[in-house]
Amino acid sequence: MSSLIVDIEEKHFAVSSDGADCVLKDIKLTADAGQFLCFLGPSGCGKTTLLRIVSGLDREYTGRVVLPGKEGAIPPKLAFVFQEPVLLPWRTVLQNLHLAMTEDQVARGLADQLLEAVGLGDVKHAFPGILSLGMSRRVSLARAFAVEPDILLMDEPFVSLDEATAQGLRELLQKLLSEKPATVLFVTHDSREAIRLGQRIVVLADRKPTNIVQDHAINLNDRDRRDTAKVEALRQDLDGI
Amino acid sequence: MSSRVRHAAVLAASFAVLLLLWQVAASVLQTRALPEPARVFGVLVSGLASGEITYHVAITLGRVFVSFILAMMIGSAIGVALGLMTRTNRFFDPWLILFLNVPALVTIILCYIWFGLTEVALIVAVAVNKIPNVAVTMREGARTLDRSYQDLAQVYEFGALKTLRHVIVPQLAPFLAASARSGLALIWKIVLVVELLGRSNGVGFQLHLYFQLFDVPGILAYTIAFVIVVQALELGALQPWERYAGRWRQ
Repeated sequence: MSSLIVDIEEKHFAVSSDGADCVLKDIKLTADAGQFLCFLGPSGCGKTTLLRIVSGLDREYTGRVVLPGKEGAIPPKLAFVFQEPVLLPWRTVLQNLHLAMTEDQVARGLADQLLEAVGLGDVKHAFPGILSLGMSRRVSLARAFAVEPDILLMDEPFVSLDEATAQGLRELLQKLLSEKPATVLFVTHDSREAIRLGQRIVVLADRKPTNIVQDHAINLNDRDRRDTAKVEALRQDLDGI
Repeated sequence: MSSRVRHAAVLAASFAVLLLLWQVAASVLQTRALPEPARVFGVLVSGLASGEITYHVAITLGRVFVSFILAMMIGSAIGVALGLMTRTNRFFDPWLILFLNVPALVTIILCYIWFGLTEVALIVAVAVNKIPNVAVTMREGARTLDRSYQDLAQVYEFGALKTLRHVIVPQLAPFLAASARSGLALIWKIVLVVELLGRSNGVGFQLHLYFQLFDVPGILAYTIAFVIVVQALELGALQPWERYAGRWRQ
């Protein structure tokens, strides 16, 4: 698999007649295939905009993005876990997964396997309206893996959950990734979460336009990531900007 | 279940009282202008038996169906487009208000003049009367479309057909139901007028005929046959579809 290349020269939002508001400037990075990269930055600094550009949802910028792909001419497959679960309420949990998948993936029974894996096998024929936020987030996670992505974009997918539920989902994410590796861009404003998950943390500045101020490789094993003292020590480095 | 039985009982009682009032009024007044229910139902039954009523109702039903489908499709397309494109909407909004306010009779007469006394003229006249109403309702619907579902469909590459069927139409379903219901009610009535003015068959033509003959039992028999068909459509097609489309709302 090839690397992900992000090279955004400038991103503006037209805000008013007197000019445009530049939110991103000179964001350049390359991520190796299979890397788990966290974007860390305060709320409103442009992290979501960055993910929308990488996903192709936002094309109004100058620069380029090259997604990591398989060998040959197969286009790279992308999955996006939005900040809200974004499940279609008029389709069942299982249908929500099937809609995103190819016929081949549906035929292989991938959706049922993943719903079992996230512990929602018994509600797969229910409509999403009856699910709690934590359960909906698990469906959203299962849907992302159901398309067998080369690159997985995640926009603060575990916010507004209690810490135990959020930690459960983080462990679930790591388990799914160990079975189906993908390049991950994970956006968060929570440095603890970034350290627990990321192999690399890219810190974005709290200013407009934002750019990259730090780029850390995190060399922790799974035990260290659960060690509060080690996580806190690393946070000191990250926060002491 | 018992509430459904009670509901049916109320419905039956309601109709029974109406019939009774009719019967009393007819017996008291003793006039050609208000025949007794039994006579009207006699005409209805013989009309159904001879196939005359069935033939004309079927003709009208076919016209209603074609103009309804046409008006819903064109009106929805225009409405959704206007709802999504603010600038286009600003330009075409006055047109919509204009067409909304053109009297049905004007459209009908002009269509017959332009296209002759033909089936096409009838269909166009009825559809043109209904399209602005559908467009206005669907424009409101399009404004409620949720951007995040659109993003979802784009990221996961649903494609145009899947997006339409699983993302857009379900969001528009309440608006589609509203314009279908008001549309059916309007189209039924307009079709009769259009038939009366320029066709030689259909319920509207028959009503005109019986009007000239001053045959009130005939007029009422056609009215009853017609109302029953409309009710059957509402209960047998529109309401079940609405229940099916809304089943996810617990």
